Amino acid sequence: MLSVMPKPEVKRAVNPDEPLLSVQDLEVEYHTRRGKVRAVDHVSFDIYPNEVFGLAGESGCGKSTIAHAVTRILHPPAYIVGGKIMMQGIDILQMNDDNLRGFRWEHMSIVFQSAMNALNPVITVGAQIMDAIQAHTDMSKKDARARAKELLNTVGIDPERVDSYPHQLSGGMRQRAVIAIALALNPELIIMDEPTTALDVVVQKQIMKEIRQLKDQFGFSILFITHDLSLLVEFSDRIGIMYAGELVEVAPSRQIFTNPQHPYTYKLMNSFPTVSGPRQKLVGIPGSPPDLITPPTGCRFHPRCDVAIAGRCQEVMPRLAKVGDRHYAACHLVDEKVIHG
Amino acid sequence: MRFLTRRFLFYLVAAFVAITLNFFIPRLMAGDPVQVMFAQFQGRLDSRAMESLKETFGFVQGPILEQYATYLGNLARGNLGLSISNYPTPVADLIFPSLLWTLRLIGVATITAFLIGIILGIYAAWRRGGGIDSFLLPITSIVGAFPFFWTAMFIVFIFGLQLKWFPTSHAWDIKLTPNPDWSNPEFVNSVLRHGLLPMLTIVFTSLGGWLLGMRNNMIGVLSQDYVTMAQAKGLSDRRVMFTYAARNAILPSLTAFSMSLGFVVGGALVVELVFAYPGMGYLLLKAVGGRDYPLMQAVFLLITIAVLIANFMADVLYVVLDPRAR
Repeated sequence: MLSVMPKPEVKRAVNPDEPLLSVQDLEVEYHTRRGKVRAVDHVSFDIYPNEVFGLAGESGCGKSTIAHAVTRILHPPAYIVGGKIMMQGIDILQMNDDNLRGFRWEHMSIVFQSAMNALNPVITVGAQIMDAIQAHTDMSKKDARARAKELLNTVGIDPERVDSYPHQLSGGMRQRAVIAIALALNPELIIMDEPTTALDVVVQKQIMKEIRQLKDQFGFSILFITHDLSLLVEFSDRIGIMYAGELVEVAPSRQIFTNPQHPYTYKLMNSFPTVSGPRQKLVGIPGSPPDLITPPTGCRFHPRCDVAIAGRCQEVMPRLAKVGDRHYAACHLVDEKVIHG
Repeated sequence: MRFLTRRFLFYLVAAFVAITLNFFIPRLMAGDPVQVMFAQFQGRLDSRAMESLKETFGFVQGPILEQYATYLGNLARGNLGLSISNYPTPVADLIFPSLLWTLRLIGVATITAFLIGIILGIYAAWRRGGGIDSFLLPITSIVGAFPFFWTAMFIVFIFGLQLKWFPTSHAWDIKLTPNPDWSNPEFVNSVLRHGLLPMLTIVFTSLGGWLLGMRNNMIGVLSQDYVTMAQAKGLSDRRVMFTYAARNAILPSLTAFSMSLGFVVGGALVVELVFAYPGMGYLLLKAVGGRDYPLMQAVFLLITIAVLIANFMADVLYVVLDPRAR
């Protein structure tokens, strides 16, 4: 029954060392009454085939904006003002409406934070899977329905629920249904914007486990966005830490956890408890994220940083620099270490 | 289904309450209204009319419950009493033709205005800041804010008196045939020509409300995640606009629409006056002018019941369109 997967390994036969998605110098601005807010500032990162890339940071740091920019579903007053988003050699930002419509879901899908809001309340779950399939293939209605049932089965929902309306499903089932919709066309990349935040921890754990299994089964990559650091570290292969619209550190998740290089990452890692590790005192980060209409000069984190270098961090903006194997950080201290170490 | 059964029972009770009030209100008036009327007509009412009036109001001999039973019995047989101003025509015979004229004119106009308003509202929200949104929306809103009789007379003046494109009054050309004759194509044509101006007046004045309401609902729905997700799914604009956005945005407008459908039965007094259209509003005005209590009561009862029926129909429609109501 599971052999109906329409697109076999052809799409997956990409070089595993070539990035699937490459975000280069992405800039997004919100045009507000008070002025322009640069929510995403020169952010670059790559996602490789079958990889889970996590993005973390405080609320308003720009992580969801990146997710929406990559799928090109940003609405005014948000505008992409610079950069490239390359997917298998094609710049998504240059696509016209028709190309974009064909590209969407076929190659990249998105799972929203709240499944209740992501499902249309007045049509059935099955219809919401089928319309995605029928928009991209010439599958008959009967086949699309069979495929919808199969997808529901894949995510652990009784296929007979194909005719259920969203309000007839539990919170966990709704999120599974949204994941089933995301899987409908077997895309190479699924963007998950806080996919389990609205669920209780038990269901959350289950669903994350299932997502991982689905990833191994179908071989897609995930851009995973959350503010739940323990979940992120556990689930991601590599992690990018964002602060005030900038990417301040990128590293394999174990590295981020055990050997953070940026003072912000370091403080972030000390601000959540581990279940298995030794007891330690939790430390918050004093201060609050800056106002992005008038961001601090130099390093945006310097007003909250207790190891800032006087005279330098206030003035010079640090750039991401290599600090280890697949490990990058944007901090003058790192430069110092590189230079003096 | 259980929801609809509950609603149906509720409306049944409401209708019964309305019918009962219709019986008791005249009895709360000081004195016997029939006597009062008799005095006003200074002997022009004969004893048969008196009896009929008494029966209509239930002022027959016997205890009050017996009177009430008589009243309900008459109602069940469609006996609404005799008209005073058009004595001795039964009230039902007066109401029926007026009701048909009103349902045709105001009903068609109300539905047309709703459909056009909703469709324009969908496009206004979809292309926010576009032509419909920036021009048509303010214009229809302003027209809707004009006094109704002013708009009606303006339309009569321009299209009827100046351009002479359409006749300005009555439902059909009386010279053609004194009584309606639907088998005559000339008569049908005349009805259409006579109906156009009053219909346009209603459509123009009520369009803006539907447009604005639908547009605002749409704007709200368009910011929902499921609309964004539908776009991210690469669905056609048509499907996103109608199945995802409009399908959800129309629900609040439906309630208002059902209310206005119910009030259609009451007629559109001003329009019917300006165009001398023989509808329910016109009939009610004549009834008030002639102190025709049986007629008035029958009209009020009919409006009440029509509103209840329209509400029930809205509930059915709601259940069809919104699975959460099932």
